[in-house]
Amino acid sequence: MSPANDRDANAFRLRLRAQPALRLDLAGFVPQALGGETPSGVARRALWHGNEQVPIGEFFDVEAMAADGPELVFEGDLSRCDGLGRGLDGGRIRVEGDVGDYVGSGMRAGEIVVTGSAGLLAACEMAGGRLEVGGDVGDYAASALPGDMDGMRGGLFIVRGKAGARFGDRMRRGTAVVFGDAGDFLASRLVAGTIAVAGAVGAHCGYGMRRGTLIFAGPQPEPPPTFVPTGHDVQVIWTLLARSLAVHGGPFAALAAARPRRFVGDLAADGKGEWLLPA
Amino acid sequence: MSTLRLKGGRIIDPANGIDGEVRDIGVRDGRIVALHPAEKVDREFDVSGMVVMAGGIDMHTHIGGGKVNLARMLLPEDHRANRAPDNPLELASAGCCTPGTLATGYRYAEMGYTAAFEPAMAPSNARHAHMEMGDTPILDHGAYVMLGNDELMLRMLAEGQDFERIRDYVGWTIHATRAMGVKVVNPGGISAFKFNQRKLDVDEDHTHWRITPRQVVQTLARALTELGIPHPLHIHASNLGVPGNIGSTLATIAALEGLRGHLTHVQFHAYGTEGARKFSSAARELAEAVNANPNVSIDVGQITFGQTVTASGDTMRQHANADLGSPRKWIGADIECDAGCGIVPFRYREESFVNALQWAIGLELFLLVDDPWRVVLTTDHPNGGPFTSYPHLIRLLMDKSFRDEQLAKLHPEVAVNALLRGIGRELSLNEIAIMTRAAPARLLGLADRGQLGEGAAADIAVYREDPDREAMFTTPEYVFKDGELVVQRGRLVATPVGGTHFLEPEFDPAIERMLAKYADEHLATAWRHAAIGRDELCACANGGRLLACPLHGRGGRK
Repeated sequence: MSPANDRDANAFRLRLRAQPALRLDLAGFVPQALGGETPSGVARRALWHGNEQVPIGEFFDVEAMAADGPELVFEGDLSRCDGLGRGLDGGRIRVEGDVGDYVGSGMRAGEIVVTGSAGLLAACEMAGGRLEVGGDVGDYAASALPGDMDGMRGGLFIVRGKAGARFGDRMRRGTAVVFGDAGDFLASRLVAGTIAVAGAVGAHCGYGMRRGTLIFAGPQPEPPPTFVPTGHDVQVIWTLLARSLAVHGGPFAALAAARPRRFVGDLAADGKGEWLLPA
Repeated sequence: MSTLRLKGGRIIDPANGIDGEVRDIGVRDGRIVALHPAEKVDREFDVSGMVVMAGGIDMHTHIGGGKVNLARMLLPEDHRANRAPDNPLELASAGCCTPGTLATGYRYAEMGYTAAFEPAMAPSNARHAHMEMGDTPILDHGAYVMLGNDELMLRMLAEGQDFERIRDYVGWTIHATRAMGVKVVNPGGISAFKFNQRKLDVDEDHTHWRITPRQVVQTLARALTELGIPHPLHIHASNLGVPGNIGSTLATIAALEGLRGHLTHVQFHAYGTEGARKFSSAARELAEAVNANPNVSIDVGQITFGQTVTASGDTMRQHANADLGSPRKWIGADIECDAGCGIVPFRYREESFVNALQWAIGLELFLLVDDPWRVVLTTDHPNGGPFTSYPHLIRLLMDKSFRDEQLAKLHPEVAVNALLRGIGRELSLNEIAIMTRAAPARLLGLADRGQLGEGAAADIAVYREDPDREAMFTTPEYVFKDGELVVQRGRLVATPVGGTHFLEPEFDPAIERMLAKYADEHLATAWRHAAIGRDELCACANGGRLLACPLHGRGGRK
């Protein structure tokens, strides 16, 4: 890079040059931490490559970019890059390609958009902001880190492809929208929050669900024996809920016209979770 | 043969009556020796202007065994909270309130500590405890074996068996588990919990065995005295954490009837029921009792604010506290005919009236007991807070204005009314050296540790003078373990394997027939595997040195 281009900037484009041999830990590489840095300064920042600290410039070409606010754009197959946007507290991150595990984990504000697919534990313990994955997400998305008591607890999480198993495990607040199919144990141990899914769901959906809401915009699964129908008139809340989901378009656009059946469960847990089956 | 000299340090060595004398310390082959000033040495350290003390000894810290490991497994978030530092000597190990074995050794050594003792080793878990401690680098270690809730002892007491047989059983247990002492946890209470009792006062009957905590304490204290065990009975008294428990704590002291006893984490046992909230400090009553009973020693179990985890053998009390867990999870476990275990994560909060008062009570106890030789500085790691808070605690004890500053941040009712406000005492460096080195060594019977006299082990901590005592005790200039430099400027430079302190008391081998029969009838494990031999202990201890401790009096035949 010529020194003339090496000026302070708020936004950077990082292009992956070659696949790292081991996992790269991108935690801490958030736009706000890099604001006012020069591209060569960014390239010198150390990150963990397996057990070794190396400068990010070993793997990425860094250039400054014009943008309204703090922003990072990553290009390439980042499926070996973990922890991207961990604890993000503002600014924007865009990944043009796939990304590894823990994307957006614990993020509190700001926006992350991944055009490809994400690995395990995407949006785990997410507390605010917006995370959109254009492809699929692996297991334990919107859930808790191993051993932790609370999963996703705020914000908006959109998955345009399929979700793996245990999506929303222990989730307690926020909204997650899945356009494709979901794996086994969708919304297991859900404490609260809203999950809307347009595809088919795997086995044990709603296992141990205590409160919270599940909306099935596509195929209507058979509620398990520990869920029971209720005769409540839910038209008022349904109108509001359907309107808030309609902005996501596709299968969620026309929900308002339906009159959903409502089931509650899991009666083996707290039993206050609800399934809304509009078709 | 290697020699070294620490030149011109200010020596604080209360065991030898030295308080601030400036002189050199010589070391040859890991022992402190008198070196002629002209004698050439392999390495000389200029420590002029610095404070030289023996290595710290923590005599009550949960660092190995079943419940410690359960606490680690319960709190993976604790191990995510920090990242391995950049010292290539350190192997991967993490954790703040439940550090892994390696991090435990590293962090202790970095503060100038060279020995730590696990206070609650269940006999059936003894191997595990020794192996974890063996895996803990740098530190010498040992453990107190838990008795007094095992079904066998309670049955022997209930059947009125001869005291000598119970004594032999105690002696066998210490010998077989290679322990450094005996701890009794909520005497009889862990067993009573299994029979659905939810509290047990000192003179209350165990509903099944019809014996009382008083009998258990008396029997064990007498047994240890007759066996010549240097460390007095280590007592976690009844009713831990219960408002008004000062009554059972004083009754436990009375139950000793003049025999030696060490009351542990007394901060949790010094509560009254005064005031609108029916929770008050009874530090003065307890301190007066300790001052009046020279047979009693204590460690405090100070709390510090922030996240920690409580890990105890006291299933009865941990079950009662489980709803207070933060994060909201806990483990309770029964240990076959032997003991119990409860793990409850906890966050001590400055804005909580109860926690603020606990904090004040701990400090009051430190400051109201007159004789520092009978008070040991502990946080009951990790129950009151992690051991890494010791430098902060030392500053609180040495600096009245800092203490007042901290007190003012707490719950207003405590900040205004605490007995602590009126206590002006500031501990001296000499008193800190007693509470963190000399006293624990003496209470454990470690003649050549906790002091800097000729012939003592060269476990030495050198601190750079700093009016901020927290900073001073956080980053020692040099730490030596058996004469080897292990820490320089607060950074590890070597990680040798520590040694194991243990006892081998005598007992009548006839007891073994009875024990074998009991194990055969009631236990899942084979009795012939119960005892840990010396070779096995050495293997458990990662090849570290075996430091057999001499016994007192007539039990001391070797």
